[in-house]
Amino acid sequence: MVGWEGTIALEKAANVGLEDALERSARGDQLAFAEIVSRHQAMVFSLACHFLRDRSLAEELAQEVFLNLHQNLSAIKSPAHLTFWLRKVTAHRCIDQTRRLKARPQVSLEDVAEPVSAPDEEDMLMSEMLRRVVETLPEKARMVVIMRYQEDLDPSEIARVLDMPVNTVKSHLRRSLALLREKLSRKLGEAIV
Amino acid sequence: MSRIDEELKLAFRREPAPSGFSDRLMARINQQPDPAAHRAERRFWSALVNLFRGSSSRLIAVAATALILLLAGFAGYRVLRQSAEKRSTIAINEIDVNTPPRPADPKTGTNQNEPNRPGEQINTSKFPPLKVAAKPSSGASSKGRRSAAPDTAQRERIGANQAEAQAAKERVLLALHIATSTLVEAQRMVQGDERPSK
Repeated sequence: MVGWEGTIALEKAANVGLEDALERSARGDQLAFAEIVSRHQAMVFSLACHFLRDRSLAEELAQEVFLNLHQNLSAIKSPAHLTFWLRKVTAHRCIDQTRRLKARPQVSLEDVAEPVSAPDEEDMLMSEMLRRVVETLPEKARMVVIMRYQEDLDPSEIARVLDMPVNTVKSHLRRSLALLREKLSRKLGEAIV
Repeated sequence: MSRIDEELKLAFRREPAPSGFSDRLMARINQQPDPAAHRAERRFWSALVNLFRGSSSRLIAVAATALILLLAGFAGYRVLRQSAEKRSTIAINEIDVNTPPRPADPKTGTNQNEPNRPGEQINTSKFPPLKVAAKPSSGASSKGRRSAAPDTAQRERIGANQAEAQAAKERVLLALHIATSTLVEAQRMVQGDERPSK
C-alpha cells in the first residue's frame, strides 16, 4: 500500500517526466509531444464532451486544442501551466463553439426519462439526468459546474481559468446547485440535499 | 459532501478519449506546415491589420508618421544630391582651371575652347597633344615650391567638402531625430488609444 508520502513521490516523478517531455517537445520531439497528449487527452476530451454532449464534436475540439498547444509549446513554462493552459483553452473554445453553432438544446426536465429501473441502472440514469439538466444551464454556468465536478477545482481556480471574478463563480455554483436540487426533487419526488 | 455533490462527481467524471485519438492528432500535426514560420507570418499580418483597425486618431497618427518619414527621406535625398552636384561642379572647375586656354584657330577664326557646334565635324588636330606629367625628381627644389600652392588649395577644397558633408550629415540626423520622436509620440497615442478599449 502506498501512503501519502509515496503518492507525493509518485506525483513528483510524474511531473519531472512531464517537464522533460515539455522541454523535448518544445525542441521538436514528436514522441515527447505524443506523451503529453496521452497524459492530458482524457481531461480535454471529457471537458469538451460533458459541455457539448457530442462525442465527435468533442473529439474535433480536443484535437484543435492540442494542435493549438503544438503551435504554442514555447509559451508553456511548467506542467502546472500546461494543465491550466489546456483547461482555459478548452473552456473558451467550448463556449465559443456553442455560441457559434447555437447548438445548445433547451431540454426541459419533462423530457427526461423517469428512472424506473434496477439500483445500478438507477445510478446511471441519475447521472444521465444530471448531465441533461446541467446541459440546460447557460454556457458559463455550465462550464463552472463541469470544472467544479470533473476537475475538482475550487472557485478561485475556476475563476482564474474562466477569467471571471470568484464571486461570480460562487454565485454560478450556488444558483446552479439550487436549480438542480429543485428540478431533481420535483422530478424524483424526494428532497435531495 | 452532500448527496448531489457526489452524484455530480459521478456524472462528470473523466472519460477516456476515443481510441486512436493521439494517432489522428499526430497525423494532423505532421500534415501542418512549420509552426514557427506560420506563427511569424500570422504575427506580421495581424500586426498590420491591427495597425489600420481602430479609431480615427490611430489612423491619423499612422498617416502623420508615414508622411514625416517620407519628408525626412526626401529631404535627406535632396541634401545628398546637392552635395554630390557641388562636388561634381568643383571637379569640373578644377579641370577648367588646370586646362590652359587654347589659341584661336588661324584658319577658321574660332576659339578652340568653345564647344563644337552640332553638326560640326570634330577637328582633333585643334587639341594640343597630351602632356605626360614629369616625374618629380629629388633635386628639383623649384618644382616643389611651385606645387605647394595647388596642394594648399586642394586641401582647402577637401576641407570645404568635408565641412559640407558634415553639415549634410547633421541635417539628415536631425530629420531622423524628428521622425523618431514623432514615431514615439504616435506609438504613445496608439497605446493610449488601445488601453481604454481593453
